[in-house]
Amino acid sequence: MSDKMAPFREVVSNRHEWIAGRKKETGRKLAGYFCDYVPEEVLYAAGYDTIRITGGVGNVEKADNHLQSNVCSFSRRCFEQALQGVFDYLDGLVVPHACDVITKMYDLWAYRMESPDFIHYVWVPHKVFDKNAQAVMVGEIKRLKKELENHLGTEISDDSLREAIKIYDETRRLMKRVYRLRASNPPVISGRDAFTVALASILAPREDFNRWARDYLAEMEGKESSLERRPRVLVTASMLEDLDLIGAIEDSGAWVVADDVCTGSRYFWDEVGEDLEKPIDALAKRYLNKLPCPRSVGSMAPRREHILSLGDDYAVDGVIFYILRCCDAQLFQYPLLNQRTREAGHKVLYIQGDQTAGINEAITNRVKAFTEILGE
Amino acid sequence: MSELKDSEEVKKANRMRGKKHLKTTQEISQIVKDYYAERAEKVGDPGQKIAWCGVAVPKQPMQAMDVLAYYPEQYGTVVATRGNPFRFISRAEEWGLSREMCGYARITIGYILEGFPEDAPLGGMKRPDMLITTTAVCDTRVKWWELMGEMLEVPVYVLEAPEMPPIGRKGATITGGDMETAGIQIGRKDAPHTMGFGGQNYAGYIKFLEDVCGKKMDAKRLAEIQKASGRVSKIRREINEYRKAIPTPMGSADAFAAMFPGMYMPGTPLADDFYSRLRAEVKERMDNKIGIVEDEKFRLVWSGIPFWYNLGLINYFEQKGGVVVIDTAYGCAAQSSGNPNREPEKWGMNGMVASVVKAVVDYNCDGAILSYTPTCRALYVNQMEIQHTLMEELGAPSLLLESDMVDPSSFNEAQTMSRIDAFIEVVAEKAKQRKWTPYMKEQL
Ligand code: SF4
Ligand code: SF4
Repeated sequence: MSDKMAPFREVVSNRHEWIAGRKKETGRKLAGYFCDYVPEEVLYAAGYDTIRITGGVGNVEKADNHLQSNVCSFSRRCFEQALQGVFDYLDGLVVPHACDVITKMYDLWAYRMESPDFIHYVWVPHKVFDKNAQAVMVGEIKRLKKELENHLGTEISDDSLREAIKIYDETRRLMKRVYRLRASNPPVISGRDAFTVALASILAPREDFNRWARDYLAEMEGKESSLERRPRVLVTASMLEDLDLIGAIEDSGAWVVADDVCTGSRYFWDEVGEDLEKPIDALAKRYLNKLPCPRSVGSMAPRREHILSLGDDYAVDGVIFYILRCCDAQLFQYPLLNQRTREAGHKVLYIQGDQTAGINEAITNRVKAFTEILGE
Repeated sequence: MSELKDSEEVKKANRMRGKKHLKTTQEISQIVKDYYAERAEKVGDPGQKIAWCGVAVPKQPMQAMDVLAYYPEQYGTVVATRGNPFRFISRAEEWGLSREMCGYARITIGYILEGFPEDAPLGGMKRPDMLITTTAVCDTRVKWWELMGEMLEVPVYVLEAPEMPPIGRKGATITGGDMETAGIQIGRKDAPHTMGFGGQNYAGYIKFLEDVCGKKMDAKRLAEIQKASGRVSKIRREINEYRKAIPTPMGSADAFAAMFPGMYMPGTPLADDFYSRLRAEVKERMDNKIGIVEDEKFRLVWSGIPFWYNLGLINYFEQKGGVVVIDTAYGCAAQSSGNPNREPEKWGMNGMVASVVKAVVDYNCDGAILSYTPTCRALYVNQMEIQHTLMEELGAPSLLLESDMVDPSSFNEAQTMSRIDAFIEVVAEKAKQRKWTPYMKEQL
């Protein structure tokens, strides 16, 4: 195992302490954001490092006073941690119009919490592929920029936006290369390692991450695999913010070689690109046309294609659907997506996720049984 | 997965049918039947187009295009009140929809999977040529409609309405007009592009209808229908104004039935005639101080979807001397709004919370019933906040009541009734010592 993995592991396993400590060292502001639809580049250009809000696994007590159990455990856990003060290190928070629940996270946070002092809502159309979507998205990015400028009393230049885009695009390219290390059979790295790097990319400041990832790739690319052959699994999920599921799958004797997860491939698959004459337009285009979250209108076809083409490229044997209880966007797509995936020749396992319980023995046993079937 | 329940059990669960108090509202059952019969009759006509539509999609453009509409959510209530919901719910669940998903959606998908059975309640919804929904109120329907589009291979239009949170951190501000849309704010003045996008979506909706129907929209006809439905809305606001009176001349047991023509056939002569007569009846009752109960002891707001298979629950409060005066989920604007001696400092975190707080103020109520249907996130993600805000800002107690809106197996009667009894004691006591004076337009 490469020790170039150490920084990624440290961030992921100890995220809040690590990030708070790192913030003290860099002296930079820190902005949190939900989901895949916040143009982080604008925050970065305004002088913030960005960190994805994660909920962790555990009980929900304080947040029960605000959200009932019919709301997904991800958001309940996020708000629980907010009430416990876990996110006190934030200087800003941006919440996108993702799903009904995330939208209410904004309402609650803005109304019930005092910090951070900058909090902003970005309205992202559901109809991301609509011909009129670009204009409204540009409008919303400009509004975010203006609010940040008012708040900070500084101007955010086009050049600083271009700079930010280049840095974030580098992360995206690096991440794709890390994921490619699993295309061979057997893979060069485990799914656990690949996903650890992916999680670090949503938590750590950009400069740190890009530097670590370059070092890591320098060591790993071109290396022969030292791993054994095992059944190959793709995970598709609402949200995966730790390594427990991937760990359970790999401990059962399979490799996780690809994913369709918003903290995994959906986060970095698409770049903004080179045409940066109008950086805000370029950002709007990227965020609208990226691999869509199931919440978006018209997301079924590209999702299906993404899963099936990863299935081919990464020689996948089985697909695991991990859907958080009460995530409507995923649940409505599941029956047909399941059908199509089976028709394409993959075996499928459905797991209901719950961040108040984590990956328990029942899930581990089902995963084991599934891996055995794949190995037959 | 719920097992198939036999009809005995369905009957048992359905035993608490709602009792309506007014004469005019007794007609509703027939109006609903006729609505379905008319559609069934016209289905085969050459060129006749059928749409399945989400509630809150503007109906007038469809009326102007002679499109016959069915509303799956409404049909869910039909199945829940007149049929056996398990037949469809269990079918959908066997197919892969999970129990925690919207009950209306499970009924509709189950109905499609059953192959549009003729013996479904009221003859069922006929196969659609198009599917139309909106993002207003909930995201669930967007996914649900897209799924139906794939299953039925018909075009889907999503009318996207950018819902925005209030500006700043002090929560919502709310006007009487916002009560028409249950407090939902579409667009915001500091984000004019969102309103532009909403407008483009409305234009896109008209264009979609034109494409599917193969004819142009008759703008003059649309304007006439809009004018007529404006008149209907006005009458409904007048009726709501009267409901503020103490004792209230009409409560939600009647209103949940009476909303049908206004919601599903606005701008029709039938709706106009129905509400005109209803207004006269409500006014007469008000003038003669005829209440829903003889000695009105406390007044409540109903927030959320009622339990359709169990509307009798609303009458239960009447046995205890109270009335559910008004309900907010489908909009409840009156002619006037506010009560100068009972203005809260804040209205709550968003417009939907604010609309319930405002209904308590506007309709001179002492507390609220907050229905809680775990399968619906969109409406119920606000309920706890409504409860807190009512208490913080008005000192008004409220009761969260849990059950699915269409699945009777989710209703725990013994537990629910004892919680209701306990709540009634609290709210009746509170009502005895009102620290505010009731208020309505006549007093201006
Ligand atoms: S997991 Fe699903 S319901 Fe929860 S925040 Fe994400 S999209 Fe929304
Ligand atoms: S608002 Fe709730 S009940 Fe209505 S369609 Fe949406 S999820 Fe279903």
